[in-house]
Amino acid sequence: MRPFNIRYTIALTLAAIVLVVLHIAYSAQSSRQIFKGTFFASGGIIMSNGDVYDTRLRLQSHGYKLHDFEEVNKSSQDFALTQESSLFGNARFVISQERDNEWLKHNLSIDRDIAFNYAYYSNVFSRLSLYKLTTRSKSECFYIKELEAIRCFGIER
Amino acid sequence: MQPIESAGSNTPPSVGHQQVTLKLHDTSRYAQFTPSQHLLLVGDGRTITRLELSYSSSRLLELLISRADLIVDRDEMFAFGWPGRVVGQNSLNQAISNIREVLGDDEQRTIIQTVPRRGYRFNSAFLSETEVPFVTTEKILIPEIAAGIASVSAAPVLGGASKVVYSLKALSGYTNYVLATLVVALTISLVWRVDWGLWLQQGMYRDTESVGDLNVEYISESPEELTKLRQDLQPLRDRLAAYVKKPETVLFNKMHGFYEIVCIDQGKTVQFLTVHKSKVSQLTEEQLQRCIN
Repeated sequence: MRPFNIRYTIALTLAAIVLVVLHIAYSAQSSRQIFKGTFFASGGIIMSNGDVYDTRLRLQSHGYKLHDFEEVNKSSQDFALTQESSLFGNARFVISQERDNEWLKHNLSIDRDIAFNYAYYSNVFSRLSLYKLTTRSKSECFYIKELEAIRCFGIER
Repeated sequence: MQPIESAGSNTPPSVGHQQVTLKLHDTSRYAQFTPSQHLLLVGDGRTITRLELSYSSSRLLELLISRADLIVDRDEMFAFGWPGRVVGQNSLNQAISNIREVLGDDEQRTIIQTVPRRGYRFNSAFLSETEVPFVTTEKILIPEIAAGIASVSAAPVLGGASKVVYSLKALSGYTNYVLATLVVALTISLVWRVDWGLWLQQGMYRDTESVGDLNVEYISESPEELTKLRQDLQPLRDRLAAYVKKPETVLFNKMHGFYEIVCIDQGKTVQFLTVHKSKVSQLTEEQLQRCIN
């Protein structure tokens, strides 16, 4: 009996140590900052009625805070996000400030799918799950599950 | 220990101050009997139970062991177990019964055998030749409550206050219990902490293909949508591939009623087109070239 008990003790101790290390590693991993610096993307949105809107995006990180400045034609809005957690390049963000969703509607005729995404993006406490897309290029690319949208950012305009 | 050859001898028992190790029915259990201290230590390999026998019980056990394999008559047992006193047959029966109980022999009765109308006999097969290391030389660390203990007629066989188990092995068992609880708690908390949805990227499906220098990645919320996305955007993929002059990555995604086309130029600049699905075929060459280059 005795040798088995000692073996159990050693095995259980090792398992406990491994689990503590995993907890620490997970804590370190989940607090890793996803965005560091400034990132850009530009392009266009082509609506169902054929309207084409030039769009520019700029991301600026500040610790776990993220500022997303979006410009559609001449209308613009900034969004504030806070990183809640991360895991292997994926991350969860929450919208930390309420935004008026009227900025797009004044001068633009937008489709409801685009409007929905911006409405969700404008509501404080809306959660966003960013899945890292590992591509051959080294751009920061994510699939945003709640919006079913992808966002990629480069380091140059 | 060598048994005394003659039964009914008045020779004093030879066990004396020696310690005698006894094998019990359960092969994992041993008992160590110290007659001079009226002490019986019963070990199961993990814990040691310390049992203080009454004077009479200790003397009777000592006598029977010293005459192992020989029949010891009742008169001699009375004289040795209760010197200078007169006690009844019931006291002897009860004392034997309780010794059997602490040795775990109360059912089989093969360690201490009853010889009808003659007396009792200790079976030497239960005497151990090898010395089993008991915990008395180890540190005393953890107390545990001992199992229920019997008494001998009016006088208790065992010291009532000594119903405590001390042992390093008990610590080992206790430690293992604590460690096992800790491991379970750490495992559950880790499983609970891990954001599985985020880690496994639940709700996202991907596919990749290369067309010349164009590396295309398809992303969608379901396998069915992914297949449809590939079919719908195949003409667009071919058009983009025709414009590519250097290795480029393009991502295709279906966002509600829109298709997203993201062009990544060497990882430095990102251009995208978000196109309503009804307008994909109407994308101009200029729009596509602006995206791809």
